[in-house]
Amino acid sequence: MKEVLVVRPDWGDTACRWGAEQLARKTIAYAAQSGWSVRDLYGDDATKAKIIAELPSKTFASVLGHGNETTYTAQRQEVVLVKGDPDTDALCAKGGNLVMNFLTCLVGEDLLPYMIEKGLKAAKGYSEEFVFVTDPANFPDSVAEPFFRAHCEFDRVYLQTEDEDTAWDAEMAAWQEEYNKAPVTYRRYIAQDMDSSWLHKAGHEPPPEPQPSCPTSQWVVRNMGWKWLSRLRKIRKALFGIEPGYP
Amino acid sequence: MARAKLNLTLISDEEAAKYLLTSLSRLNLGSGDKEVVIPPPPGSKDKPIVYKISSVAEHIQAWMNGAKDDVIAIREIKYAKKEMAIERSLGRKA
Repeated sequence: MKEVLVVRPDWGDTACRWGAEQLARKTIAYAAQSGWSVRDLYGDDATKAKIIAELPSKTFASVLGHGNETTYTAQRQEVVLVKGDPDTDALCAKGGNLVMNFLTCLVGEDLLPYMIEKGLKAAKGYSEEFVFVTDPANFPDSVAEPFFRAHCEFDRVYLQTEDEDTAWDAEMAAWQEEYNKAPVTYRRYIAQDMDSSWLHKAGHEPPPEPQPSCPTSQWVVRNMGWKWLSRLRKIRKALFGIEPGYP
Repeated sequence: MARAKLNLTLISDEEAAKYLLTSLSRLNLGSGDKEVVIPPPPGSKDKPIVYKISSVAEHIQAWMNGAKDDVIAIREIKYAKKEMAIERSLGRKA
């Protein structure tokens, strides 16, 4: 039977408390529904030694923790994966069949592209902070649900299809669906997470830089940069009342 | 799989702050207020940034009055820009 590694640090810290519960309710439940067994490293089991020991025998891992641009940490912020670290390099060299989904802030900026360069098959994560809304008096509440539902959609579909591209498309569709359903109170937070999520793998290039739609604006951006287009559009707004962003 | 980054370059901070204030002024956040959680980066020894949605307008107002280093306002303005970009990409006024 195929086995998924789920890493759920939890020491009472708000983000990990919510994340650990949500991964149990979603990813672990999805695995059972899809015929996978689960190696669950929860709480004090979410250590570097255990994670590094388990990953080489897995093809899929869904991991929670805190992160910055170059570092992923697990229980009580123990450093596990770091750009330039020999243990991380060795793990990636053996990870030609391994797909990882990171529920952490920022690792998509630098650590995940680095891990792909070092041989990991694919990794999905956030290039900025992962933000979510809670109702602390009602743990784990329905307000937080859309954020984790969209994140875990990658896991749900990967566990069914074993195809990271299909899983990525499903996650993006889930974020869009949650954005459309969200009240004005917090849909900007869904916009934040949707925009900073990215699947890193060979051949899946980072999102292209935005381009203006009209030829004149394209010429300005090409020759003078976005800053000048922005200035020109502010002048246009002052003179004619046309909002920036409209052709 | 094709997805462009949201185009935030044409939305100024001031414009996003006003948009957010206008949106929030239409809402009644008095009861059942929810909290926003932004986890800290590892090693920073910082606690997570946790704040009530009902306090956002206050932070934005402070930012507009000169408190440009208000961490919550800075983040909220970034998130508002992303919402505005999505709304505009959907052809809605924002």
